[in-house]
Amino acid sequence: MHSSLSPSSVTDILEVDDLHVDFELPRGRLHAVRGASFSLGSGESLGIVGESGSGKSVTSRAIMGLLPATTARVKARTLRYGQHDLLDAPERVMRRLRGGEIAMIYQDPMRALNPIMRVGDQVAEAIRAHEPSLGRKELSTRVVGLLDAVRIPDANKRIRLYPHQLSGGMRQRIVIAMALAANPSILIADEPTTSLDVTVQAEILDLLGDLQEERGMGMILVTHDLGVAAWHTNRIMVMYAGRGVEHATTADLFEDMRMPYTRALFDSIPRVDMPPGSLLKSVEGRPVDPSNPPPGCAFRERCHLAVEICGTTAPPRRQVGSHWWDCWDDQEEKSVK
Amino acid sequence: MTISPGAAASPPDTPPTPLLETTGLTQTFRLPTGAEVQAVSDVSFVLHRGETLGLVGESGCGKSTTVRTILQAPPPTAGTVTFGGIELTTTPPRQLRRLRRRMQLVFQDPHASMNPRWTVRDCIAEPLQVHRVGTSSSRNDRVHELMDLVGLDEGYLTSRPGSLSGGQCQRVAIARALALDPDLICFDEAVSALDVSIQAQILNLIARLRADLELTSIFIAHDLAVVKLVSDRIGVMYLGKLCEIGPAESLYRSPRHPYTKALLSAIPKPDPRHPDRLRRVNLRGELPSPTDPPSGCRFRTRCDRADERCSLDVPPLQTISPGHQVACHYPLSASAPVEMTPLPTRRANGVVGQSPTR
Amino acid sequence: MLDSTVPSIRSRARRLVGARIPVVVLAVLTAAAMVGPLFAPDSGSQDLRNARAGPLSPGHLLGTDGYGRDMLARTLEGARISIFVGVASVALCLLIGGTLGITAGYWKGRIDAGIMRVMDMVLAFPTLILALAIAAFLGPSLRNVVVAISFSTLPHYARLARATTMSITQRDFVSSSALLGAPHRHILWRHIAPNTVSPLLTYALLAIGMAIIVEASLSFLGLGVQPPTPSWGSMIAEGRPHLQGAPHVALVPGAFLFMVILSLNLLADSLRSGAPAAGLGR
Ligand SMILES: Nc1ncnc2c1ncn2[C@@H]1O[C@H](COP(=O)(O)OP(=O)(O)OP(=O)(O)O)[C@@H](O)[C@H]1O
Ligand SMILES: Nc1ncnc2c1ncn2[C@@H]1O[C@H](COP(=O)(O)OP(=O)(O)OP(=O)(O)O)[C@@H](O)[C@H]1O
Ligand SMILES: [Mg+2]
Ligand SMILES: [Mg+2]
Repeated sequence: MHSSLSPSSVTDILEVDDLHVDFELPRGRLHAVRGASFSLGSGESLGIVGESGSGKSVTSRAIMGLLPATTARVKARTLRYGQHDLLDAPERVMRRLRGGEIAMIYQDPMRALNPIMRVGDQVAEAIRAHEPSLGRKELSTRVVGLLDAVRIPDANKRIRLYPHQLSGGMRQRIVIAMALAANPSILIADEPTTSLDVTVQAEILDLLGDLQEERGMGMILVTHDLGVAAWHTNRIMVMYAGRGVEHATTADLFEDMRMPYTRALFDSIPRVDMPPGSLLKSVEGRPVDPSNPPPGCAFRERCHLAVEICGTTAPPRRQVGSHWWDCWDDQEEKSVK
Repeated sequence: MTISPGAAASPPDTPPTPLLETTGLTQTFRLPTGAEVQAVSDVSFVLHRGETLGLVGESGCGKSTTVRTILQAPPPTAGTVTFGGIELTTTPPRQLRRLRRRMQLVFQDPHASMNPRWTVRDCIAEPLQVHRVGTSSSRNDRVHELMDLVGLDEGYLTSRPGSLSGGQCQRVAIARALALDPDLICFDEAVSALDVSIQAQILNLIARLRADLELTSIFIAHDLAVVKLVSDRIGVMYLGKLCEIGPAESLYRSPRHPYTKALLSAIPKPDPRHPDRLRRVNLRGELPSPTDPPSGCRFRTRCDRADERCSLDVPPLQTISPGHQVACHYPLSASAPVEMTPLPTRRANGVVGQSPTR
Repeated sequence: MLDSTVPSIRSRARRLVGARIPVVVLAVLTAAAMVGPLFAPDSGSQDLRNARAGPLSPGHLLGTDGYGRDMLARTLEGARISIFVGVASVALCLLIGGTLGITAGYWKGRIDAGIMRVMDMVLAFPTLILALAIAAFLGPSLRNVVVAISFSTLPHYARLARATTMSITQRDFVSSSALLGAPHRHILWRHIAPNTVSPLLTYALLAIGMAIIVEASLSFLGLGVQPPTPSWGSMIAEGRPHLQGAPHVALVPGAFLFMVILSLNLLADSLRSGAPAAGLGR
């Protein structure tokens, strides 16, 4: 079942199968990721969607090998990038992959930038990290080229500015330019627009989508908003309490949400076509405590379809084509009864 | 819970007196560099009892400043604010402090707006204590009542804000704002920092309280879809100016200001086949510096309908249909709401108002 | 991925040394200073035949001084003086300096400028020299030592309190309270003061050490408490001429001084780094 997640697994550059991440903390063991499986082909974009604390960032940091070695315990059946097994790759290899082959963009652009360094120099530094032999002239052409690529107007002038002199959207573009410096084949964007305005968010997401298509990159877009994922991904994996609970192509998922949590997440989004004063169908209740996940289905407490078995036994994985979901509720079976 | 005698109590034929009215509200800040920022410029609107006004606009357009100026913190540099018949700008400080129990503000970052050393109980009881309402046991009862009202378990009364999640903490902030039965509550981006699923819970809470308590409120956000859910009327701001204000439904159905339209099309729609995906309206250029706003219409540098007139004359706020006002020399026509020629590419880099309707 | 578990062990060890050990040392010393004189030989009884007897001599665990008085008893009594001067001067500073700093930081403008100008003037003199001058002017006595130390270190407290106040006033919960209609009294007492206390207390721990050293210096120079009342500073001064023949007379009070200062510094360090200190709630 696991090897056939994607029909095009031949070209998959990234494969994650049954990823588990635990944190050993003084107050006990925290199960941050409890089974996430997905794959990513080049030129494809995958959305990882789920509420705060569901393990999205930990999953992406596990791929990058960026979890603290002192506390994090990473296990997986497969964690593979190209020919590299990311689980036991030596740090030397990981360092080359990170930023080179796999690049990452974080939520807060200000944290990724050095406040006292001109943005042009920061982009140049990112390029030089991978091509140390580049001459000065070539380097500055490359910098301007990259800034053009991320649609920064007047790139020639802006390279002289400091991060605080730029708007939030422009800063995030600089961060994207730095991530693109080494021509990565996978770009992981962890909530790249959460700190931005809606208009700027739309521009940045468009930009990421265009770049991903132009350069044939694989992209993982991490977000808590299914609406953001709808237009900018080919496939989506929904996470709940550290576990992948539903996965499908974007079109399939919005056509037919099978796992009740996915539907709940969808219903939480305010839509422009709702009349004023209407209530959202929000998921009430609290997310599960990751240090003590309940047996059975983690979503049971908040699920309106829950029956007794949900509380005792983990739900089976059901699969139709590339669409899979974990749930005891099965429409077909029910209609047979 | 007492409800202020408002719209419901007034005789049906006299027009209801507005709870809040601002005229020509202007706030100018002087920066350390010597430059001046007109963060709010000539904003006028009325707010009736029981009504919610939504304020939307990009970061830095002056939404927070508008609300803070109304609350006289700091007072405006020009213009007037009439609250319940009282002119706030000329009210002496002592009296103003007493008036503050009738108007409350909920902040964007719920954790930052609570003293980290206090318990939830202290935070909610603070307004009651400050205004010496009731005895300590009746205050305690009120705190329990408020916890119940915002849907928080009483077990949290002794927790510190730092140990609560963002959504729980925002509930505490709302309970605190409701403690004194204020006439006006301002929500400054009260849901913007929250995850969509928690945002939905808080939006529902606000909608429920609005119905149950007949709240009068100003609700700020940068996402139009969020604002629409809880507002009766909506004001759209750009660079300190109000560019469009009108009933929520009609403003969405047919936005008349090009900026409103751009904002509308920027909202992420949870539907891969939504038509907007093909015809997103991108704003060209960048937000101009607030210290040096464009002459005439402030939006003209990003608007493709702009011509010479827009750079010369400041467009006044004009009524174009009952209750709907727009500040634009060339407003979009009412019949062409979101009609735009779909472009062949997946994402169109079109600019505002592509269709040559004028 | 290269970090191993070493840092965590090291940091745990540091926390232990940083918090527990100093607390124990200070507690034992304070207790000994309070009850010690009840058990140790009388610190005042002179016995010139037995002058400058070495440590571990019969009846005198740490030996005797030039008048044959028991060193342990005198050192513990000196500890009382040191602890009193340290705590009293720091408490005085906390109260006055804290109030001045909070006032300046909260009201800003002319009040701020006025207060800080005066503080800057005090700060322009080297602390020890200023304390010396004041002590000399007021005349040697325990009370005057406390006044001299307080006055010369006051600006540090005021500056810290002012900076902390200014940053707290910027926080949302303060403006939230003000928008509620809370009077300044409420904001100052309930929001600003409690949140200024913890940085001030951390500083105060360090400052106790400094005050003890200044007191020792003043006593060493004869401007502190007057003989025969012992103080670590005057005891070191007494022992100084005999460093060759009977080093313990100067070294015993010196060692106590060193231990106390080191403990206070370690404790302040561990409080500042946020590690929980045993016995000292935050
Ligand atoms: N370095 C760490 N040490 C200990 N626990 C951690 C660490 N990083 C994350 N966690 C925990 O792992 C769980 C999952 O966190 P994660 O950051 O992946 O959530 P997320 O889905 O990205 O949420 P958000 O939307 O808030 O970013 C959380 O309970 C978090 O507290
Ligand atoms: N105290 C101040 N001094 C100087 N300038 C200020 C001050 N407060 C706000 N401004 C300026 O006024 C303008 C409007 O700011 P405001 O905070 O009202 O925007 P906003 O619409 O609330 O934005 P956001 O969505 O980021 O909260 C900005 O350009 C801001 O820099
Ligand atoms: Mg995250
Ligand atoms: Mg704001």
